[in-house]
Amino acid sequence: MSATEPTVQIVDDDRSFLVATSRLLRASGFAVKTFSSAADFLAQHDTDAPGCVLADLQMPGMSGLDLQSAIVRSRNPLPILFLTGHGDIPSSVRAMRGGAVDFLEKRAPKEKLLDAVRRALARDAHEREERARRRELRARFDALSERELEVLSHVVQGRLNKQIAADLGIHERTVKLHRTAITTKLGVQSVAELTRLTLEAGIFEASETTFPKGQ
Amino acid sequence: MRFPLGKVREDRANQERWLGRLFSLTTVGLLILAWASVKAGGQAPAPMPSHRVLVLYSDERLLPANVIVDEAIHATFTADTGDHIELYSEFLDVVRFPGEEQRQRQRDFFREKYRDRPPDLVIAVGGGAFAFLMERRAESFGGVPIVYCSAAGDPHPEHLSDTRIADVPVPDTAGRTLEMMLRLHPDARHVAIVSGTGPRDRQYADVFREELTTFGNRVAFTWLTDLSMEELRGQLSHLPDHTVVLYLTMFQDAAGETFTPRQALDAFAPASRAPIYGHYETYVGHGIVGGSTVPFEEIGRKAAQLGIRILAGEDAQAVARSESYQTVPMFDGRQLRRWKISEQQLPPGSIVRFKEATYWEQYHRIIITSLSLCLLEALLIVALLAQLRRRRLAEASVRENEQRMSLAVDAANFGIWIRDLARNEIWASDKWRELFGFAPSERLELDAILQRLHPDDREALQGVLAKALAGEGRYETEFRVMLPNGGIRWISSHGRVELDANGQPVRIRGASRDVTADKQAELDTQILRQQVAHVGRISMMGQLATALAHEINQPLGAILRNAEAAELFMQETSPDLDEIRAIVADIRQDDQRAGAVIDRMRGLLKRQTLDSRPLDVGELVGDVRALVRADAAARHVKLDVYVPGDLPPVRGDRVHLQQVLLNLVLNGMDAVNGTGGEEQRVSITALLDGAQAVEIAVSDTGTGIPADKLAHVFDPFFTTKPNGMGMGLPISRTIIEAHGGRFWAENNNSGGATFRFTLPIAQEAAAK
Repeated sequence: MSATEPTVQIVDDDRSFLVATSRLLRASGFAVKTFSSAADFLAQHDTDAPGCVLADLQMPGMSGLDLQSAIVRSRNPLPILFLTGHGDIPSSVRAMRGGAVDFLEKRAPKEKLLDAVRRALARDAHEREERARRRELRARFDALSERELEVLSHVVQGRLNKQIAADLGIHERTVKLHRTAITTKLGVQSVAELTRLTLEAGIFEASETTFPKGQ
Repeated sequence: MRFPLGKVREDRANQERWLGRLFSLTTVGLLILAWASVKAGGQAPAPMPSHRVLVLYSDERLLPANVIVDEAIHATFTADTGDHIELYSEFLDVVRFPGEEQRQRQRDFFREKYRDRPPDLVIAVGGGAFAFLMERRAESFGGVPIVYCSAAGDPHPEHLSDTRIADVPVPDTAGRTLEMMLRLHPDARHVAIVSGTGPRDRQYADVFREELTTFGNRVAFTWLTDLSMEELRGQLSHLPDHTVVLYLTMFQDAAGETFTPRQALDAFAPASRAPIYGHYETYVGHGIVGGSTVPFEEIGRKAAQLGIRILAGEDAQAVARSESYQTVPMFDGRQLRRWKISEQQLPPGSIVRFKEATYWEQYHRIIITSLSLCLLEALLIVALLAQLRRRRLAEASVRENEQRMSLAVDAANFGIWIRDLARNEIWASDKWRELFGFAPSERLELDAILQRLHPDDREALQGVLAKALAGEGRYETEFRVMLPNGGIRWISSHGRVELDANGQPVRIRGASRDVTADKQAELDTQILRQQVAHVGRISMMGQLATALAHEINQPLGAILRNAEAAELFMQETSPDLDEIRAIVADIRQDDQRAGAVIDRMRGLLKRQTLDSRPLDVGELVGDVRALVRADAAARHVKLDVYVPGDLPPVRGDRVHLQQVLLNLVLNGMDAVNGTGGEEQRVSITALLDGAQAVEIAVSDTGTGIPADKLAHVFDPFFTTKPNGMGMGLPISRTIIEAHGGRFWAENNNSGGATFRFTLPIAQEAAAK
């Protein structure tokens, strides 16, 4: 959780365009950081810093698309805006599929560029919030014991304490104790809230079906 | 013969008598006399012959020599037209009936037998007969003249003082034979003399032995006598080399068996491993090579002739003295060949019997004719064979050619056809039928064939055929065949019209080939060319333009952002002038950068990539035409080319100029394509522009260029096309100007636009 100001990270091999663009964005009120190559960006930028990436699609060495795939794999993927001298459709399709926010010509009108940058920053802020909340939830779930997680998985499926006790081979009172511990640890008041949080945290998403479904 | 002759004479005498008495006697008497005369005619005694001759033979009747002599004597007497001579023959057969007692009995018998018919002359044939007569001269036809008919070896006794004895001695034929055989066998060192053991054999041998002394020591003589036939055969079969055999006589062998000498010869000759000679004519043909002989016929004839003269009153001794014998060398042709004696070696006058060559003598006409025919036939056969061979060679050559042809035809996938115009018949090879989808036996009609054609091509082919027949003489065309199975096959057909002596077409011959694959390849090539053309367009113009756009967009983008930033900065209450100055400096720098990009491109075209060399304008235009032909056809644009053949070559870079021309033609096609006008046409025209340049113009029948745009068509990024880059013409102009030429555009009076550019004539050509 960094409190740093959102920054537009510009990556372009063309020094002149890099400077001109950073000037415009700064004059427009954005924090800007410039990198003359994709490799430089990946090596130097603060991965936790909020913001977006404005990258030239055609660059020598690591191209814009290569940079995109590297960013997507990172912990805090920044939204990417692509710039191109003369856009071609196959590249733009790939870029958009890869999650690019926008695809702009270098000589695109200023407003278009600034709007795109704002959208990208907003998206980053939203995604960043989401990621933070999820991480916080996960942290809460992480406090649960194995047995508590097991009980929780049955609870979110709507099963009764009696059933859960029978499934797990434990006493119904023990189930109740586990449930109390779960709600306390997760800070929820109701089963509905518990279920929503569990789904939101995505804890059982991958392995849900591995749970036995009753006797 | 004697009886009929006498009878005729009697008849005539009787007739005279009968006629005389016919008039003087009575009828009764006539009858009696008539009967009597008939009676007298039948019973009249045989008239006395003028002479009787007895031929007395020593030996049996069938002794070969006797047969010949007897015949000769009879023939001679018969042929003599003088007196009538009656001949009697008696055979003493002294070999089989030897001894004095026998002789006496015979003497007695003859005396009784010939008591009433005493001979006027006796011919004694052989020594035996003569001796018989002389022994008891008085008792045996005493006083009757004797002709002694002797053969070689017969003794001639001393007491021939008798004047009534005619004796013509036969020359020493045995000796002459010996002489001859030694001549014919110069390498002979031994002579074996074969003789029997009979009294007469010994007698003959003794006579010869005396003559033999004259031969001295020239050769060694061996007497094969006192041998049985078996022993003799054995001896003869083991004779040493270089031996010749002389056979005298063999009436009897040591075993007592009697023979005629010829029978004996027949018995032993096959056993002999040496050539046998003999001096009797009768031996010839029975195993002897030959010998010096006196022919028995001659002996017989001479005896008869002597007899006739003696009977005519001549003196016997005188007659005999006037006669002599000639020896005749006589040979057996088969034996000559067997012993490899050539006729050239034989003495002159030799008679060769049984020679194969007699066939030649007898049948030489037939032989000549046959041989001639054979020769003629052979010649004919040779000629025929030669002709046959020639024909075979020719046929082989034809076959070879045919095979080569058919190989070529097969290899080229050609189907061959011939159309006979007079008979309106069409013959086609199986391959052709396969190509056109006709069964091998199907009758071919022109209409049916035309029916097979793709409807779009039918008329064209008929036109081509008509033109060929009308005088062009040949054609070459391509068309599609619709196969019965629904497929389409492209056929390339070549044909040649054959004319008769009057110049009238008689038939058309042609070859058709399946070019579907070629067509497909051509189509592929066309597509490829289109792609190449497009790629070329993109790669040269487009790629350049893309690169250019990117290169220029960078500085332009930077300029834009800087300008925008500057605006924002200046909106602030206290603008950061340093920042703004930096921005303006950057803007200027980026502007220069953009200019440099364009300069670089120009420089690229001008200096580095121009490969200038003399170019043929016709080829240049032809290349482009080939490249766009498919495109033009696909877009239904007619592409015309007018390039005079005598244009001098220009100097330039082929690839770049192709690009320029290609760009112009494609532009032109784009221009006419949209119009939907009646005539969509793009023309390339080349003509001489003064003495130094060639002008090439590409005009189209499109809508032309709006007047206000005409000045801008060469501006970069100026375009009237939705997808146009606006770089084609500027680059083209750059290229042309780099070549030292001019480039401009104008609208046609009749509509459409024309782009013209000039290219300098190559110096080498201009100097001429």
